[in-house]
Amino acid sequence: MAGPGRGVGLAEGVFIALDAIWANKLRSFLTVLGNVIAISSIILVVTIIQGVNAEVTKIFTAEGADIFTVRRESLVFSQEEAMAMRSRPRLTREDARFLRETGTAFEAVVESADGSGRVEYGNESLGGVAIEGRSWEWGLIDGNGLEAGRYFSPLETNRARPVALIGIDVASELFPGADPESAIGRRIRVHSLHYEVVGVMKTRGSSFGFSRDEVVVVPIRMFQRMFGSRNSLSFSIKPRGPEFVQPAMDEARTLMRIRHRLRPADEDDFGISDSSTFLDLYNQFTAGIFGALVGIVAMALVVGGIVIMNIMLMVVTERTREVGIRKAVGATYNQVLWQFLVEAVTLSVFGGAVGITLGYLAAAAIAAFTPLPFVLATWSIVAALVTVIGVGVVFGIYPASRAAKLDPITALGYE
Amino acid sequence: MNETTAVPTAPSGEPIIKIRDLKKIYDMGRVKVEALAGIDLDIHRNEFIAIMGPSGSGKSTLMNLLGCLDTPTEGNYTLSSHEVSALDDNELAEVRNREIGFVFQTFNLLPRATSLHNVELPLIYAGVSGRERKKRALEALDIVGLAERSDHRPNELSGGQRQRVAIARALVNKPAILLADEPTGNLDSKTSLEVMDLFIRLHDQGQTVIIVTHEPDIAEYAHRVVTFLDGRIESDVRQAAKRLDTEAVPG
Ligand SMILES: Nc1ncnc2c1ncn2[C@@H]1O[C@H](COP(=O)(O)OP(=O)(O)OP(=O)(O)O)[C@@H](O)[C@H]1O
Ligand SMILES: [Mg+2]
Repeated sequence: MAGPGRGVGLAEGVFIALDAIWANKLRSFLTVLGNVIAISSIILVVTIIQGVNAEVTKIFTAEGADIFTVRRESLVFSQEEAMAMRSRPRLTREDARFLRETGTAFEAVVESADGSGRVEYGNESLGGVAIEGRSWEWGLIDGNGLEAGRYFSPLETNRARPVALIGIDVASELFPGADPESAIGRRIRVHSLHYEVVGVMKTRGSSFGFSRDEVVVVPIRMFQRMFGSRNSLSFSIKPRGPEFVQPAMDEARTLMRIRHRLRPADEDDFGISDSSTFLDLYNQFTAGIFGALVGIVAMALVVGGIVIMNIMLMVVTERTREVGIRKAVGATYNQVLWQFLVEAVTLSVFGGAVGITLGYLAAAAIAAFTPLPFVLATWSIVAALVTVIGVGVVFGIYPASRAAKLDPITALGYE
Repeated sequence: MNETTAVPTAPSGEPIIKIRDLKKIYDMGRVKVEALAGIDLDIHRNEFIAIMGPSGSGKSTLMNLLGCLDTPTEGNYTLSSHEVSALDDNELAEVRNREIGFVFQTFNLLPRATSLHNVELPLIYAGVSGRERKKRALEALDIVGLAERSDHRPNELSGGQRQRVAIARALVNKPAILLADEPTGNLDSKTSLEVMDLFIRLHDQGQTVIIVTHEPDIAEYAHRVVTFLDGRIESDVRQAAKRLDTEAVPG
């Protein structure tokens, strides 16, 4: 691109600007401080949120995208609603049986309950391990897979057999140096009860820096024996196919209302959510953060733009004679305008580039010292560049037009 | 030894510059300064004209109008059969770029740019690109004998050399007229002669040259001397131009 009506080309205009930036390093840096602050905060916040996003999405979709959950609690936003939920009926194994027997759109209904406790083998002991009670259908919908062994059988669930699957971290802590295969058949203690290991799960990875492999899965009836059956169960339901997600959710809701004998006017006394329910909520939350960020950044950019405009006015005054010379040898209004506009944009982009670098370094530092992953969004860099180019044009146009309007004789006579 | 040529007769044919009743009036509020009080002037191709006159008589005002750096208050100015007084700012810029080479008393070079870049400047605005631009700028620098100084900046050159770079810049677009407002005004007599030699050689090669000067011995090199007084032409005489002893002047 040679610019309107040719004249000083883009590359040369940028070069002139960089030369001037280099000649007045401190002044240039102070000039673009607004841009630096605005852009580095965009990059930093976007990178952090992207990192959190990646983790959160991983958690919410861990079970599989089409699996939804029926719980006693639903998503609430006030203290009163939370209090009201305490009188809701618990979800029981009879509810699960009803869903399985009457439902038509379900492939699997998994009963689940979660707790934590101590796991022991010989002299090895591990506290604070997640203990998950599951019905045998869990084996059907678990997308994670096993390192060794097998899932529970229906019989083991219903008869409450003391069999357990263990996470890979539990295996390596309890049986140091042994391979997963050799864990099968060993007898461990979970929450003071004896269990036989029947399977070792593949790694589930970590989220926010915490391992998700310190886990033991036991049959739900055993879980209730350990922790009592007073707590509500929850049901993870897999629809017949991906296209049945909505019908299955509708059916689950209808069946639960029948089971709880609700009248049409009554509200649900249970909650149904799929992975997108939480993701939607979370996305609303991050959108709020982005909104606030955009406001702050816009303010910093306006202030930065005004500073750039002032410096460019000063530059034009300093270089009045240069403009006179250029006009005397034939530069037109547009050609001079273009030159100073390129210079203002270069200055602005320089600030943006410093901001991108600082934001990037800060984000990388955060990723290095926290469990957050480093997810640099290309779009945030593109958006930052487009923004600073815009700032350069908007705030550069007035000084540039002042230069372009200069009368050659007057400009040449300027000392 | 200096030699002289015979007094030329007035050239015939269509003049390259035709000025009729040209006025420039500066409105200073209470007083109006009549810098040019309505002048008529014809200039033909390949003339070599010296413009003289006391300070404030309107010489620079005329040069600025001829160079399209300024617009007249009244009157007509035809350059290469184009009516210039009717042009807008963009068209004037184009005329300055293509038809006119202007040499200033104070050189007016870009201080941070090399000789080469200074000479390239008119070509940049003419849209000549890259290699062609550099080639033509080097040719122009060669004409003024400064090809080997192409990467020097103005502060690395003597006054005479700076003025020769400025002349190269004025020449590079092959202008119809070469205008110089006191080009030797800031130079000592020896460097003044170097610069005059350049103008004489350019004129010999067919260039139309108009020079403003205060010094009679500079005006002697012109074929025609136009003298101003109070914004009017007081006299307009043709003369036998003095020739420089070319061997005494470095190329
Ligand atoms: N921008 C201006 N505003 C007002 N008056 C001006 C302006 N430029 C020139 N003049 C006046 O116009 C008259 C002619 O000026 P000009 O510069 O043409 O003279 P000159 O012959 O070139 O003089 P010198 O030999 O000193 O250069 C002078 O009286 C001067 O004061
Ligand atoms: Mg003058």
